[in-house]
Amino acid sequence: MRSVLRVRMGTPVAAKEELGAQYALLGGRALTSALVAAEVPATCHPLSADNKLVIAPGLLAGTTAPCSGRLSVGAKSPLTGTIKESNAGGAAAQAMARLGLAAIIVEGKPPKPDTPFVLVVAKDGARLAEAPELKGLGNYDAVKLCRERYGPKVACITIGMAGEMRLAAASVAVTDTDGHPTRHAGRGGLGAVMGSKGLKAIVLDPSGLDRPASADPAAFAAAAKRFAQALAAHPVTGQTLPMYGTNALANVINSAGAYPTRNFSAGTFEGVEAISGETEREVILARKGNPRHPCHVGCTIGCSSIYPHKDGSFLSKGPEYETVWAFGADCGIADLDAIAHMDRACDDIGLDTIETGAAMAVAMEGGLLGFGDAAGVLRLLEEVRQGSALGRTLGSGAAVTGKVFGVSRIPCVKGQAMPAYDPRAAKGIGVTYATSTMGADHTAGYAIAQNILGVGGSVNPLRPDGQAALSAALQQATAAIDSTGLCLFVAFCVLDVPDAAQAIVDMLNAHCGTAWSPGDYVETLGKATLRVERGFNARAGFTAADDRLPDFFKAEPLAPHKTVFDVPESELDSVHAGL
Amino acid sequence: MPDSDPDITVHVTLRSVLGKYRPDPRDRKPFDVRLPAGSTVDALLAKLGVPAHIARLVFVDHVRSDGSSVLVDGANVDVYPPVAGG
Repeated sequence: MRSVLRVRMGTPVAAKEELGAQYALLGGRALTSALVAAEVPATCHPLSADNKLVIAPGLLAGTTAPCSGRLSVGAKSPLTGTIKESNAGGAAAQAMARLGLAAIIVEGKPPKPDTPFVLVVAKDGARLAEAPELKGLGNYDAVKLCRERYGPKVACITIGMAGEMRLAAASVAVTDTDGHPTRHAGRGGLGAVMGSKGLKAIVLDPSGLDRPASADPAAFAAAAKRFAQALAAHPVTGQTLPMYGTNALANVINSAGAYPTRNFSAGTFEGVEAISGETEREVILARKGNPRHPCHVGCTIGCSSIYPHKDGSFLSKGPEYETVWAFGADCGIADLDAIAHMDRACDDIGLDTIETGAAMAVAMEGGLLGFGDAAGVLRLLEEVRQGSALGRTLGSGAAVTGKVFGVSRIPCVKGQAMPAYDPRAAKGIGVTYATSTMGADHTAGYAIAQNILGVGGSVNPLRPDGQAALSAALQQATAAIDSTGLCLFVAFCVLDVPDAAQAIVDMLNAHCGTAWSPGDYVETLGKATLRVERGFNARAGFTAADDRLPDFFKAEPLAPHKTVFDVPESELDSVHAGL
Repeated sequence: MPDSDPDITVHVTLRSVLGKYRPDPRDRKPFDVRLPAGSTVDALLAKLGVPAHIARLVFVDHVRSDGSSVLVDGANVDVYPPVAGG
């Protein structure tokens, strides 16, 4: 029986309680959003005692289901003011599942706001302890101390300086299979919520505990085997993602003219080859790094990598597509080593690389530094680390930075910076940016699959037709996948191979004891989750007028296609009409 | 008498695992290919020996194209295997 660990920072005390019956068949995003919607006043200040940080593994976490180690982190977002679920890989989700935890809920405010706490959860129970020695540390040093104290096999969830400073671009870090804090619930400033609770680290020690039992172990094993075989046989999940990682997309999106360059002022970047996935792989291999690294045990795709210094020592994980774009093309920087240093700095300070790269690009447009100034970006990241007024401005994200520097081209929706696809040249993803419950979020409904990659069908990226229906279906399916704990990258296989989709439902039914059809699965975990999230956002004051892109996307044609974003507002408003 | 239907030259980039079909597999830069005017993407792929089912994504001057797309002189053609990420 799964339970909830409720952490009351005001007391402070951590105590287990039963998972409410209404939550019994929820996990991951479905559970974080249901709990936030039920327990957090929608109009509260995100950094107040009323907000709650909810951390939940997916329904399949801890099982042998391939790629089932995603961890959902939810709260009211300090960046967007909406409900937020941001998920990450790493070792924590499986550890929580072995510890029998459906969720950790962190609430209230600490009595002594200047002393950080560590929460330790092990077989013998949970305890909160003051941890003054962790104060002000970056994620790497914080994790090192935790592992020295609690053992090398623990999984850690931590915040860096940005979270302690409660900056709106602060991430929540999760350790990977090597114990490095390289996996981040990056979006939406949830690190600031954790920081506002005075919680610096959560240490999860699943030693001596078994995997969660499945209702029908034999049926589960059979379905998991089918799923693993489908992932291995698909050319994306079985070949190109393992070989080149997510940054294989840099050249593709540039070829499609949808690669946002210099703060969304062009759709192609002349320096793309130097920062492409192919170049990244060559550098990693030449320095004897690891070109294929799973972020959690049981990941069969292994899209991550280890990026070394020139002397071969560890620098960072291989910067992912979004990170390479945010600090690369969006800032006009064609230097992969510099980007790897920026990735390392963001992981250590605890910053969302998309939001921070976008903020740097906006600052460049505002004249703070020139496009292409890699040394300047690294210097500014140190300002964030030190907490200077300028650093705190940049660490508050692209929208705040744009206001401070008087910039009108601010590529944000609901205060959250757009990721690495220009909505004028990939209009389906523009619909998702506009209508997602999370602000501009590509993962909420990844229409790039059909707009550009030819996965799961094909919808012309340059025309407005069909984009709303595409985004709607993807947003519903994505909310369901985000609730299972499966990595969203399984979708590239699932969209092409019908039996892979059925295998997910079969795994869920065998593990949870349900009898869901594929339709039940999308309804229970997908549509219902979107209804809960949309309800929260409506109570927080969001209306259809917020489901829009900034005006410049409708007014400034994007080269090379010379297109604008022209999906009619009535179609944007239709996206969630079928919920 | 001048040739009224001359050959065309297109600039081709073969990406990632398609590198083995380049003139020099280690050189990732675009290379030129001469084709009869009116040639299609499929004809280009056949000339290069790239199996059409592996060349899943083809962009001609930034527009995603299928095998029947007719190439024009000076076109930039980017060819990818099935690929995704994000």
